[in-house]
This record gives sequence, C-alpha cells and structure tokens, in this order.
Amino acid sequence: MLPRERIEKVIRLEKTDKVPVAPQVNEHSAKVLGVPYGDVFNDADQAARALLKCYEVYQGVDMSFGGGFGFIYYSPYADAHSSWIFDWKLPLPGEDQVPQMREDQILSSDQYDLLMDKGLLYFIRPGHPGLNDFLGKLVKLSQAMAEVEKKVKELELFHYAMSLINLPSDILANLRGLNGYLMDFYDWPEKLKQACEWMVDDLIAMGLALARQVASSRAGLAQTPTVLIGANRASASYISEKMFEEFAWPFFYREVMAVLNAGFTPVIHLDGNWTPRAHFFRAFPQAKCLFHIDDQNDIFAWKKIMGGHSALMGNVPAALLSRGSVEEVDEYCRRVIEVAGEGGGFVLANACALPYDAKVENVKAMIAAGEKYGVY
Amino acid sequence: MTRREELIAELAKINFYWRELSEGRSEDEIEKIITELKQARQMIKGIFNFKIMINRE
Repeated sequence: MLPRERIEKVIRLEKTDKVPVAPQVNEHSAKVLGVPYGDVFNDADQAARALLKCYEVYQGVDMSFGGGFGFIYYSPYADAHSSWIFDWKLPLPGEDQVPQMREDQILSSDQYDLLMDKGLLYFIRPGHPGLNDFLGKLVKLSQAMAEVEKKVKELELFHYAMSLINLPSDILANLRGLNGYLMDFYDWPEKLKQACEWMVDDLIAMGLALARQVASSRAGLAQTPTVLIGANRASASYISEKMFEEFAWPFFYREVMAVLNAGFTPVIHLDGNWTPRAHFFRAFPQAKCLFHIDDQNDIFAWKKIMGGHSALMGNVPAALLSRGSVEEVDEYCRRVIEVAGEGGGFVLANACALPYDAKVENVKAMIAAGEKYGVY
Repeated sequence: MTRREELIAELAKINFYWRELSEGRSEDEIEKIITELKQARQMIKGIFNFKIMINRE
C-alpha cells in the first residue's frame, strides 16, 4: 500500500495494513541538517537541503514534511503568522531561534467598526516586509523546492495541507490580544460576533482560492487535495462551551462544510485543549475529515467520542520528543497506537509540529513504533 | 490646511499607524510612505481581492 493511499484510507475509515506515521518536521529540519534555524528560515535552498536530509534520516513516513522556510511570515495573508499585520521577531541568518510573536493589543475594543470599515491591510505595520521580499521568497521557494517535490512524488507521500483557513475568532484574538479578546465576550459580544460574521466568508474564499491554485500547480500528481483549518483560541483552554457554541462553532461549521463542498479534505489542526468540544465535531459528515490534535488533548477520550466517525492524528507530546528517552517515546506510542489505532482511523504523529529541539533518536523511535506496534 | 496636515490626513485614511509613521518625518518622507503603502495595498488587492483585506477606501 502506498503511503498516500494509507492515509487516504485512514481518513475514509477503511482498513489499512498499518498505522501511518507523520512527523511534521518544520523548524526541526534545521536541527537535522545541523545548522542554526535562522539559516533555514531565511534561505530557501538551505530549507530544501534540510527537508531532503529529513527524508534521508526519517525513512518510512507516510506524509510529506512541512518545511522550515519562513515564507508564510512574509505573506500578506489573513493569518496570525503574517508579519505584515502581527508583530513577529523573526530569526536572522545565523541565529538559532524560532519566530516569536510579540502579542499585544493592536485593536482596541471600540475599533471593531474601524476594522470592518477598512479591512486588515489598514493595519499594515511599520517595518512590514516589502512586497519584493514576499514575491522574491515565493519565487525562491518554488525553485528551491523542485527537488523536494520530486522526492515527495517518488515516495508517494500524502500532502498535509495545500492551504490554510483560520477561525475568525483566532484572528480577532490576535488583533485584540488575549486579554482584550476574552473581555469582549462579556463587554462587546455583539461586535465580536459581527466581526466573525464579517470575516468568515472571505477567509473561506481566500483559503479555497489558494488551495485551488496549489492543487492546479500539482495537477497530474495523484493526491487528495487538502485544506488546513487551524484553530486555537476557541478551544476549551480559553473559552467556555457556551461561548464556543455562540461565537465559534457556527463559523467553524461553515468553514469545514465549505471546504468539503468544494471537494477538499479538511485537515483540522487543533491547538489547545479541544477534548471537551470534540462532541461538536460529530456534526460533520462521517469519514471526511482528519483531526490533528495537540498534546493538551486526551486522545483516548477523543477516540471514544470520535472513533468510527472521523480520523485522528497525533499526539506525541513535544516535551517527550525533546526531553524524553527513546524508551519513553516508544512506550507512549505503543499506548496511543493500542487505543487510538484500534480499528483504524488513526495517524501517529507529533502534537502540532515537532519541537525545534526534538531529539532525532526520539523521532526515529516514533516512526519505528508505527512498524513495531501498528501493523493490523 | 498645511501640506503636512494634508499628507497626514491622507496617511491616516490608509494606515492605522499614521502617527508613528509621520512623527519626526519630513513631508517628502511621508509622501514616500504613502506612495509605498498605496502600491503595496493595490498589489495585495490584486492577489487577494477580498473585503477583509481592503474594504472601503
């Protein structure tokens, strides 16, 4: 069975030969190559070399790796990573640092109307990246990644995501700052809801436009077209179920259904604790979505709620991969495969993305665990 | 209205950080910032033509 077919079957809740494994290397790719992350972040060729090195070191995976090149931070896209709008400290060449958002209140509570009147580009920051930075990096990225794409094709790997759609409440949380965002549920609930409503259709349209563009550039490659729907600030780590139901769920539902109706597979990337909200997701069509959950989630509880309904991906903790031993990683993976892998519908992966400083031997142990414990 | 005031008013129409961007800058410098911002906004609008990016001018 080809790796991409294995994951496609997992999403459709069909039988597979084994549990697929999908480490997301991202920033960690620099460590595998043995260079400071700033070098990979700023240099597309170096980022491509880092990814090719990861394919050499981490053999036996089923999903393509996300790269470490910092392109997304230079993109004027409606996303928290965009340094056009949000305040990021980005690593310079030679610096062994990962990007850090300096989250602060950009928008005050009485400026929701200003946002809806002017749009996000009214908030372009002083010292924002130039358009030439963005376009230059876009060209460099496509040139540098040709070899990597060839490798992904040769290995027949599943692509994690072709595009990205945020929840409106996540973007508003970053614009308002966490404190302001949380206060608005009490002080300005109607404005918060109105702004979410104002954003959601455009977030969907932007995400789908980008996904169609990427899918057409990869036409001829047999692969499931995917769109990542990312969510964090509407999780149970931040807001109550009542708040979620009123301010986030209607928009979450619209985004996922729009992605499905457009013929894409939603990869629902959940940061924060979503376990208490997992039951909502049973409203989505069965066997159509992949839920990638991070290590704040109880994957065993998720399996009870979503098993037989939707596929799960996760959630080997970042701390374990960075600080644990090979034996501890092996034991965690064994337990997760035994429970979450029962009857299929499961992809073994790190929570969120691999931490930059994950130990290489631990990532290898996670991949090996798929073979060791995951054969059906 | 002085030329400087006109430029600042124009900048305030297109950017939230107009105070920071105009403070201590000459009229020519402010004009350059306005031109660059307008160009960037138009080019981005060409890529992502959605109201959440640029709504009403």
